[in-house]
Amino acid sequence: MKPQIAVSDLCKVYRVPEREAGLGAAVRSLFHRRYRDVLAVDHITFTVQPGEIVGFIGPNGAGKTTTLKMLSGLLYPTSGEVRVDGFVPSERQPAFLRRISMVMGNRNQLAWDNTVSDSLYVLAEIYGVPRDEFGRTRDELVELLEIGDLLSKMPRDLSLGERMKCELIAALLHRPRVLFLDEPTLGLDVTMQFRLRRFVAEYNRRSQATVILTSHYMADVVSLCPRVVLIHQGRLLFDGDLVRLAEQMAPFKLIRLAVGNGGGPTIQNVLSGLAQPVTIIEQNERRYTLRVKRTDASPITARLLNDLPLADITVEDPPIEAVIDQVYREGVNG
Amino acid sequence: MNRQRMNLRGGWALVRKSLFSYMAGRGFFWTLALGWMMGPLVYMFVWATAAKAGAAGGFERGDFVFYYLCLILVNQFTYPVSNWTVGDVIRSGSFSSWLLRPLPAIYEAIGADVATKMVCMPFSLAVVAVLGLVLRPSFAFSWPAALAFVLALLLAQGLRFMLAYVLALLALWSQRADALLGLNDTFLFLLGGQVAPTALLPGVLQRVATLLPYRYMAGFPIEVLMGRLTRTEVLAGLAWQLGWLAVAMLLHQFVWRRGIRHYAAVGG
Amino acid sequence: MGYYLRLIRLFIGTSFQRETAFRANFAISLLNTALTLIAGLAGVTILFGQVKTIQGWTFPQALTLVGVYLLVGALRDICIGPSLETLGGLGGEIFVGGFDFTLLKPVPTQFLVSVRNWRLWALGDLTLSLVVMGVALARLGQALTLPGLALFLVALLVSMTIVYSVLLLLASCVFWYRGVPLTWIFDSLIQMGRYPVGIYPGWLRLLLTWVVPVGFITSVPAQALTGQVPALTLVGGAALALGLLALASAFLRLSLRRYSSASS
Repeated sequence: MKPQIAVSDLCKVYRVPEREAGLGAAVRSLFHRRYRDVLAVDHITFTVQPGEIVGFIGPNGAGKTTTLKMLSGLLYPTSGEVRVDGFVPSERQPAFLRRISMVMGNRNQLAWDNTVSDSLYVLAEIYGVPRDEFGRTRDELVELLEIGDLLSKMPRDLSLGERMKCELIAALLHRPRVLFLDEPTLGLDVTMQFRLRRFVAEYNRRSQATVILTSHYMADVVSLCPRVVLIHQGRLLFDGDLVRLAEQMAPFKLIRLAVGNGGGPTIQNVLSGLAQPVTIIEQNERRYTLRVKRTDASPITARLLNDLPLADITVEDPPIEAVIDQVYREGVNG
Repeated sequence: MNRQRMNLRGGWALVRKSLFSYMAGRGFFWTLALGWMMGPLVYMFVWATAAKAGAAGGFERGDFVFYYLCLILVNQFTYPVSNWTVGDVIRSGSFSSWLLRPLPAIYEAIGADVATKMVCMPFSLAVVAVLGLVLRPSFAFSWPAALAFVLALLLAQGLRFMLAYVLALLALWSQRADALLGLNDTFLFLLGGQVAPTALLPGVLQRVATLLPYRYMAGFPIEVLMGRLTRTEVLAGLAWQLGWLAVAMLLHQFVWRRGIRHYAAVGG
Repeated sequence: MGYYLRLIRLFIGTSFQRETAFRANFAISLLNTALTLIAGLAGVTILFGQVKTIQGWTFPQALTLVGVYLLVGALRDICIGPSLETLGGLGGEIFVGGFDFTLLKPVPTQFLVSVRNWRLWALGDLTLSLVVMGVALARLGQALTLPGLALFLVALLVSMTIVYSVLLLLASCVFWYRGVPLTWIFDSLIQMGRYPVGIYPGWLRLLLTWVVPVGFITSVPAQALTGQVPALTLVGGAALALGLLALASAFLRLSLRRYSSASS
């Protein structure tokens, strides 16, 4: 199938003025401006099929938002090719703009002092949504987002979470084929984040709209995105299944156990008697966290269950944040 | 009041902080200064042209030029910025952080005021110098007039600052108190020596101008400098300045106490 | 075409709802209108209390000029002023960061940023300015002839085109120099249009006629009203206006390209 988004060798270079501290440097900068070239996006290549949900992850300043802006036409690439739905985004053709939509976590497009329904009406006209379709889409979204009667209120009177819900309706009113979400859960409470994720998943299922999501919250990515693109210092480090990344980067598991009362050997005895390597990461009175190789997890767990009076035991994958942090620091190797 | 209680170090640090941040944005401030000098410039040309045929109200062309060039500088020296530095801070809610500091809130306002003027003054002085060379104002210098001018100028700044600060504090009560600003500006324009030197105002307006504080915020020091006032008039004017300054300070106390109580009650 | 007209109607509607959301807005607008009027009239009245004519202009003629000045201000405040302020004025989109949303809309950007905010209270200022002009004409003892009115409307159109172009230029500058809300500069310079351009010394007069055409904006329509404007001036003005409009639109396009090349 023809990809909906095709990015090839995409680059973005910023010229940033260099300025040092101090009065002398400030005076000098009046006459002679020095610039530095910053490679924000470094030869990125990937494709996205229609209906996919892809998560862009990476540390701050990695180039995620820059890439997103190039995909939506807000930013001109320095070099390379971008094609979204057959269009070149930077040409900003009205037909292209009607097919996409963007939601930014820390910015609102809804007018502060007009009721939400008024703003929605204006947007419907701007995007040329037929009257009856407008009503249907709006009602559907209101029901999905469980908004109730917020439509008659003004954004200035809404809480952050309520505002974000209204922003989503505004963004989806014209049924875009591609939806860009730039940190949509920023600052929202846990319940709202959960609801938002559920909504995005359901919306994608119903409408088959392609969703590109950037987020710092791993929970967003883990629960929503079967596929992640990892961008670090402008370069694409990984493109694929997040679980596969974790298995590749951190081929170990964590065993958390709590030793109960009762006699028998101490945990140190048991551990030293094991053939496989075990590292104790954490120890808190009777609670221990052990790190073992993925393949060793089962036999070691069996031994522990057998030899120790355990009050509790769980076997977990390492927290995804730790994996990602390791990737940022060490890169993806092997 | 010992040094510790007055926290002059803190106050001076505030001036420096404002100064550095304003200097970085000097384009913004110079544009502001340009805006402030437009009014006096227009009226300078108007009156100078009017006086070409002959003196108008006792002012020759050169007198008008001098008067208005001075007005640009005096206006710059006394222009109050409290509505933005204080009013906006109150409206946005950051005022609470001022209240937590071991520093009277008025220090912030003074700091911002001083810093604004330090950044704008070089620009205004440069423009006035150039205009002075081109337009040839007429001026007779005298030591007593100059000294009285300095005194009147300082009092004018104090008075104008205080009144503007009190108006800005009204934001503690009402979200839309800034509407009064327009009113204040219009009075200053009419009675403060901007549309015309006070001496040229028609009868009843002139009398009102002598009573209200606006003349003493801008026009009066220039009249003193030009030596057109008699000794009694100068002393009377200075007395009016002091009187209105006292009124402004009393008003400040009142507005501050009630305002803070209201602000704290509503939750800031 | 209908699409654009429909959008304009919508923008007027939402702006009106915004304005009427708070009752205090109405009182404040009224107050500001009154103050603008007083300030405008006071200057001229006090001036002519001291002299009979200034640069050949009599009191009624100067009053006409005040009326035109207020009219131009009111026309600007109805639509293009507030719209362009949202783009590049104090606290405008470019500073706060909402401009990206404007760019994402499938509507030509120049159209959107020029007509999206309306301030209907300015209609009050408009009415008052017409009253002032009416009084001035009455004092001049001149009746308004049809050709006179036609010339005036043409001059006014030229005026507003110049005002729009200058405001658009200044608002676009904000893309290049983000610290300064430059539309303020226009407000400062237009003050010079309160009085006949002839009062300024030669070099300034040239500047004000051809570089920042403040003279064209106020003096020419006023003269058209009193039937004193030569046709050549109007033609020259129209040419200037169209030239400025083309320049401003091109500059906006250039500024948008810059924004999309360098925004971070």
